[in-house]
Amino acid sequence: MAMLLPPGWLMILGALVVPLLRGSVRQVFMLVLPVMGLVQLLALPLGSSLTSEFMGYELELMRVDELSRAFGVVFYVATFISLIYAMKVKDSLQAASALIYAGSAIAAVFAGDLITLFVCWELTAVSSVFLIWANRTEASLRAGMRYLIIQVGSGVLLLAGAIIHFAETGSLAFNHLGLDSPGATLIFIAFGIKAAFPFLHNWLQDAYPNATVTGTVFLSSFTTKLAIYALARGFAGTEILIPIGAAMTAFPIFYAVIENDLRKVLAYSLNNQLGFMVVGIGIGTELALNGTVAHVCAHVIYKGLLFMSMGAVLHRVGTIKGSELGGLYKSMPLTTIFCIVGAASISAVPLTSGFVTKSMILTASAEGNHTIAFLVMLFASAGVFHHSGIKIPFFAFFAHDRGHRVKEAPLNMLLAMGIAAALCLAIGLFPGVLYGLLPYPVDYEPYTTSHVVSMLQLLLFSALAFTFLMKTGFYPPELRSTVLDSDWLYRRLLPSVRDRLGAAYTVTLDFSMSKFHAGRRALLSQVEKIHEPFGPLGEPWPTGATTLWAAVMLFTYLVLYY
Amino acid sequence: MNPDQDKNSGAHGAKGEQGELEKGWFDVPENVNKIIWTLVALCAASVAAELFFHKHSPYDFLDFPGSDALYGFVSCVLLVLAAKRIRKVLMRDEDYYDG
Repeated sequence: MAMLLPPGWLMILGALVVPLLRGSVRQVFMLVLPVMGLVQLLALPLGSSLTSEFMGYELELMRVDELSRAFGVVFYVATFISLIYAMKVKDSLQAASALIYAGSAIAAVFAGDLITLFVCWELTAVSSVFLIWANRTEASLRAGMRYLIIQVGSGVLLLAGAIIHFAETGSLAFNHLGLDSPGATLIFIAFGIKAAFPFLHNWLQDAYPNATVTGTVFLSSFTTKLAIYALARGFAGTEILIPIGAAMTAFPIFYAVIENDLRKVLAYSLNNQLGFMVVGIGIGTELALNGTVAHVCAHVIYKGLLFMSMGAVLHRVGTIKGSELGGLYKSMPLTTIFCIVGAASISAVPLTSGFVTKSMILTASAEGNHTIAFLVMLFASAGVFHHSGIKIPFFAFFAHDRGHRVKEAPLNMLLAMGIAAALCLAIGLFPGVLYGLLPYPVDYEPYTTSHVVSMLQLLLFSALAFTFLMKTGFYPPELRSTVLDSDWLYRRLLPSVRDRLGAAYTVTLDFSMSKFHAGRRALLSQVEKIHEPFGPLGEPWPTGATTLWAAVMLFTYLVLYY
Repeated sequence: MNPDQDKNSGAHGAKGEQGELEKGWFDVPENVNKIIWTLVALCAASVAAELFFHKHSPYDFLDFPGSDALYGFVSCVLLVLAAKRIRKVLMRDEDYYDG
């Protein structure tokens, strides 16, 4: 039965049946898929493998070890919760693409070689874009297109890197790569795009708030965490990741303070949480990698919960702008409570999931004497509490009552949020269960008096600072606005350069046409010289170089003409 | 006590123009003040707790009582002041990209 399929593929194949089903049959069918997948995964012993011969290459379609299993389990759980949240969505395209997306992310985690990884990598990109386009607005169409170009671009870099890596080493296996070869460097950049490294990050804040209410919940769970998995597998202990990750924890929180679209605030804080994981991978010790994997598990649940609560607000009120919201605790009390549980978890309040996971990474950074990274992450921890812990619930549910009188979120959304909130608290109260899933044996105790008091001080005084700034009127009010980020480079600068070049081109065209005919003969004779056998370009090229140049040309074409 | 209750600190009570809206518990200024004073008390308690044991910090220069409290407060104030400066430089109209 399903035992013959690698994890994830059951959902991908199941998605093809979804458009044929209707009503409660479809709902039950979709919910059964991740449950079956999880049962299958837990039944597979560690070390299971499934290989296949393709065009003379040995591909490993499935590799089950501690690292892939942990990610697989949390991805299945996230799929199940997100599907309950999206149960009422009638749109077949959305339902099917969500399943393919989640399935291909899981399949990617279990891919044992770079080619299988590439195929799943691209499948996540192509399937997830429909969750953005399903919003059916002009803005979401364009944001989806930008997202697709960047995600597929990441896949093309991965493929080029894999081919070069194969030429260098003769192996396609996806294990530790390190940064000492050109092929691995390309793969590193491919992972970096998907993990939203600084300056490569802006597809995330651009696309996620433009997806549908339910689509954003799916998106928040898989794409970036798949990249974190890939970095943990291929680049554990790569030192450069420590400053990259530290920068990721810090810069998005400044944006989060002044951003008005609350789902975009969450996208910025998602970016900041990825930073903690990237630092953990960079440190690369057993404690740090355990911390990264644990933090991924906690993060997928609480981030999904926060996106679900904001989605419920958007679903009921019709807007998610901080400047238009407030006072919703009267209309949506349960959503408010669930949102606060998610906010407490992301802020690492003791007794919630964030507390027992993030601290492992902080401890590992102090043990490795990465002082600057430690201090930046401590600053970011206070900052997270400020915007995700306080700002999100405060501006949505409290603050000024704007007079919205709406219904509480639909029952299925409340159920999904309730399950996620329960998990946040369960992980915080009983960390041992999660610790048992981690790749290395855990020798770590989160609940020491010293640690609890330190964290409470940090959080309470952050809250005090917020109160002080609100009372004195220093806190920036929510304003309807756009805050420029690095996407400005390709949304404004590039098009304007393109238009100017276009204008210049027309002017020079007339002039050059006259020169052209004179120059043509001279040029042709030159070209013949270069391309004759044993001329500079007449020699056979290595495959890797050809792929890379083709990728560069295609990418340039896409960027200029989408 | 749960720090999450501090979410409501700084909430302003219902204004006169919202006279016809029913008031919730958080719209009453006295209640908001109660929350704020609770928060202040908790802050004091979290620092006072260090009278009874020695809080270990991984670094010597952070190994004094109330170090995390100071770090949290200063971080947040600097964060907000910096964000306000960033806003001056990078903020545009809501429909900036729709042109």
